[in-house]
Amino acid sequence: MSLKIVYKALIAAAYAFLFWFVFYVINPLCYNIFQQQAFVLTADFFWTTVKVPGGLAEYLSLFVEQFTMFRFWGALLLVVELFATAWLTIRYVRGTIGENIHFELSAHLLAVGLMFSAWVNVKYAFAINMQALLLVLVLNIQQIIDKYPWRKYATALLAVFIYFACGPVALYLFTLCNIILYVVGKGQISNLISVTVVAALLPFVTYQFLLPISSEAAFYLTVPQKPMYTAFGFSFQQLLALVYIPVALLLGFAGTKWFASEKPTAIAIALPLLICGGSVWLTKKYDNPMERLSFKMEVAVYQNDWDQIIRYVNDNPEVCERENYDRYVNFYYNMALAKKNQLGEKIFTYPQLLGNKALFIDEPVATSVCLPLAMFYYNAGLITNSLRFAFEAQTTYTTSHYVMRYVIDCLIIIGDNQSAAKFLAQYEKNMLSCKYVEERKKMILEADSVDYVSDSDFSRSVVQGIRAAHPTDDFYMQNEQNNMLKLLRANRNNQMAGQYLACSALLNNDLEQFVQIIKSGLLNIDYNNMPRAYQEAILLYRASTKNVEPEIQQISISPFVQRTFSEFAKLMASKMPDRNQMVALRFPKTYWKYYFVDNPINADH
Amino acid sequence: MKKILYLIFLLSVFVACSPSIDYYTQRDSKPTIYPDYTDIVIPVNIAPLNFMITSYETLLAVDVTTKNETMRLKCHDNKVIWNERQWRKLLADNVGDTLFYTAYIDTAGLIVKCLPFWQVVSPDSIDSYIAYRLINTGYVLWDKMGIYQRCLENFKQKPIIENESVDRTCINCHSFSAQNPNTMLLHTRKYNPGTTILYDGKLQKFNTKTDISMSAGVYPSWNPNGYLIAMSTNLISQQFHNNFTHRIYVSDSKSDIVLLNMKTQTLTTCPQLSTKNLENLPAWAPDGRTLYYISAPERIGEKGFDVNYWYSLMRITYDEATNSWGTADTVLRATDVEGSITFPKPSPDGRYIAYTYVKRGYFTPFNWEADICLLDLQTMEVLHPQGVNSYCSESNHGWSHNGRWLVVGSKYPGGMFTLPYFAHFDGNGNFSKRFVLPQADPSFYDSFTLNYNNTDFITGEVPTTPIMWRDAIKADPIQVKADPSVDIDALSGATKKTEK
Repeated sequence: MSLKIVYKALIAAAYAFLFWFVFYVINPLCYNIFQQQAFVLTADFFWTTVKVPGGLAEYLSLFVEQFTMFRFWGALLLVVELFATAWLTIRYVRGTIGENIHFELSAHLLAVGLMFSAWVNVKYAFAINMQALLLVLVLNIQQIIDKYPWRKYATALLAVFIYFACGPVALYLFTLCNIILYVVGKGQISNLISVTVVAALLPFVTYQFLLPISSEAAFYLTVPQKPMYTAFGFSFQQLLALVYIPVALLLGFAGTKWFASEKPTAIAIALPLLICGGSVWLTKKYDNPMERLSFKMEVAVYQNDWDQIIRYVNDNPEVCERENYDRYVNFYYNMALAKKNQLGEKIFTYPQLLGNKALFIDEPVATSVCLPLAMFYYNAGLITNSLRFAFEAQTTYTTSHYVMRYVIDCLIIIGDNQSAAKFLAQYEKNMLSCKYVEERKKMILEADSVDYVSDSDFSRSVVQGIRAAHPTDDFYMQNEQNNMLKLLRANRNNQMAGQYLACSALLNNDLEQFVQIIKSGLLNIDYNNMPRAYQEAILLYRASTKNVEPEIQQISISPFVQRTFSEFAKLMASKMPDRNQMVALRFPKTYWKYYFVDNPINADH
Repeated sequence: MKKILYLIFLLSVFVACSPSIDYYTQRDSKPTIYPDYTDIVIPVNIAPLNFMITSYETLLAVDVTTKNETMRLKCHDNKVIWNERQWRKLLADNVGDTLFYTAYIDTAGLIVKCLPFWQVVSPDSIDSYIAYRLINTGYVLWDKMGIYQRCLENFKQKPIIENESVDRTCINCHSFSAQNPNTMLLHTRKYNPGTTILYDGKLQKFNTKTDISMSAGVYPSWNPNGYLIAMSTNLISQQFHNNFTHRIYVSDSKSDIVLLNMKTQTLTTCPQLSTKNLENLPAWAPDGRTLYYISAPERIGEKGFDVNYWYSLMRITYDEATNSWGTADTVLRATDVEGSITFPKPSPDGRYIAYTYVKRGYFTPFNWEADICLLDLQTMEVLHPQGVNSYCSESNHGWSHNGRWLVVGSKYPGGMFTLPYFAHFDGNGNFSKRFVLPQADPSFYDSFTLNYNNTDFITGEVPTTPIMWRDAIKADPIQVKADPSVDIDALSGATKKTEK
């Protein structure tokens, strides 16, 4: 068996490893609910996206990104794209510099480097990758046309194309490649002149006379890059975009001198090892399990898989540690507990470091919290507020799969079928949404038919149930606790609202309010077998209040909680200097610990 | 031989395009078409009114009958799409006359002939352009938005400015002087804030916040003279309600009115417009000497939730020569109409004021009961024109420069998305049935989920490019001067500075 075959087999194995790696490790990141959906069956979305520099790369990235909704296809497409980039780079270098140049080292390394961008920020990763892919594609084309006399004009056109397709950074890189080629004696002066002229003038002409775009988009960053830049400053992705080709060339030459010509066997083995090793290194260094977990939870919330969310936390006890705190994990976990009617029992199994804001997530309103809030209010049953937040989210995530579905479902529930139909008409242009659109359309068309039967989760009876449980009075939805109270008054069986109402009083350390809620009788709970956190709060209230109302005094407390509280009371009476630490150690996951140690209200004071 | 074949081909095309309908049954109703262009008055210069039928039947053909001829229109995919040249000729040949449309429909194999609907071609031309903002249905947040101009004589839409070039800032409250596209302003908020004004051929950005105004200028109105701009200054908040049909209210805790003179770049006001009451939504009368506005009582002790107050219609005179104001005068009391009078828009002949009636507050687009009303200043009679109103919210209206057309932003149908509708005005208080902005594809609105916000007529194309607006908006603002003769504090209302 020749070395070449071994080498190819190993490279194939390495990319298979990459596929597995993306499938299992990166995919949850790609599976981000905020991802945009390119409308594959219409040209509108295409034209709106490609009209600015970098737009084509962005459109292609969005197109690919939508397939990450399907784990297998997402992983496969990403790996194919990485391989294509590496392959095109090898082809280009061999074509321009010569057959004897072994360039695989740098090319495949760069494939791993490009994958890195998916770690740093998934949303823009594909855009960066697509820019690299288009750039090497253009370099290959340039190499093919190099033998023709009209090459300088074609090269200039390629430069124009690369500017509009990938943005200014890619144009500067294209120019740099031509400079390097000329310096090492492999390029043509005519090419260099035409590319340099385009690079020097085109961004200026575009900015000043052609397109009403910002100076950043014209000279420095493409539109998809800019928000990332604003958020993260100068990131690795920016660096990657800037140094992609120069690094490839330098490593190629280094590889030639150091390894390829002398030790071909070593390089054949080293390359796949580098790809796999690089991936593992990336996992170790940059993996953010909390971020991945919160993305997984978002998906589970959307799928109403509450058990899965609780399992995620139970299976990963480290997420409950203070130093790993993540407000989205906290928010989704609370929501799942409430849906399973366990919030009062288990709320303090997760550190509620943000207090009430862990229940209702932080304001002021930003698009990053709008979809979680839409999900929350949808599940709590306050559809008017869910719709409001879904619309807010839609301003930025215009074509997001998830946002669109919340908007449509809320509109159907509030009975605005005409508006729902408009969004469905948009959404049906996405080939991935056929089943959903078909179901909802049928529901709208046959809404009044007595024969209408649906086996989906969103059947007419479900809609009618949500409507029946919805508060009918007009109130001002600014206060979350009031929202929960209204939901509870509209439907005593709304367990989620009841738990959120009681727990928000607990998280505010407002025992008076908590007792009022208990006394109101609004909570649909067994007063002789109350959730643990409620019992702990009641014991604390009894101990800290002189005249306890009889109905509170009569609430039965489990012997275990009673016994634990006695120990707690002894500790509190001991006046030890490290009392709070002792409380945290001996009474973890209790309301008492939250009340005295964890709660942000104490921290503020 | 070639000629014969060519003729046969042409004949076959003709036959295919003009189906022969020999047998049919008469139906006693008009067809249900979308958009609804039945029984309306249309301007002689309007773009083709393409339409489709919305039932599950098949539209075979439509006969259009005029005083001189009957023409049969091709139908594809249940749609009638006019040839633009043919449409223009049809309207030009039938000014003042009526077009009758007779539809032939195939309903389960049976061909039926519907009762004809009509369109009267009015000789009153409509202003050739409208300007509007296109926005998502967000309330607090926004991303992409832009102000656009659309030629009403065809289907061409061009951006005046899109916010992608100005850091995705919020762009709003575009306004023109007497429908003149050469004098325009718009505000930008959040990023690159200021008021950018196209005046005297120049685009410049101004900071209109001064010591005598509580905020930068908000709701503007240009004086017909083209250099005085009345603007409200407001402290605005939004309230979200649990109500399927009234989900949001917008209200002010304070508001006043100021006047910007573009010649001197000076901002002035007067005690009458800076009281503790809520003065808002200024609108110049065509004489340029009378300023209409609305006013509600001072809000005391209310925090946020409170739109339960009514605005009355007021007016005040202004003499530019002496920079002096008259006495504020109540034109129409809120108590007389049992609700608020908002967005007053005097007709170009000065006889009428079209305003939006709403049960409470002043910000009408989200209020389903909001309707356009007409106040006859000669008789002081309030009219409720049926033609321009629906069960959904109607607001953001504007007159054409000849006063014969009214554009209305209506959330009909559905109540969610605002679309511009046009109605003819006969000058005597009567409006014809309105029709929606025509589009090349009649199914355009089926999947259109943006809102046409603040649609206004303009008599021509705005003579600027988006690049010019970008450069002006991104520039540092010019600070307008506060009128030194004004000695009031606009925030607290007519309080002498010395008393602060």
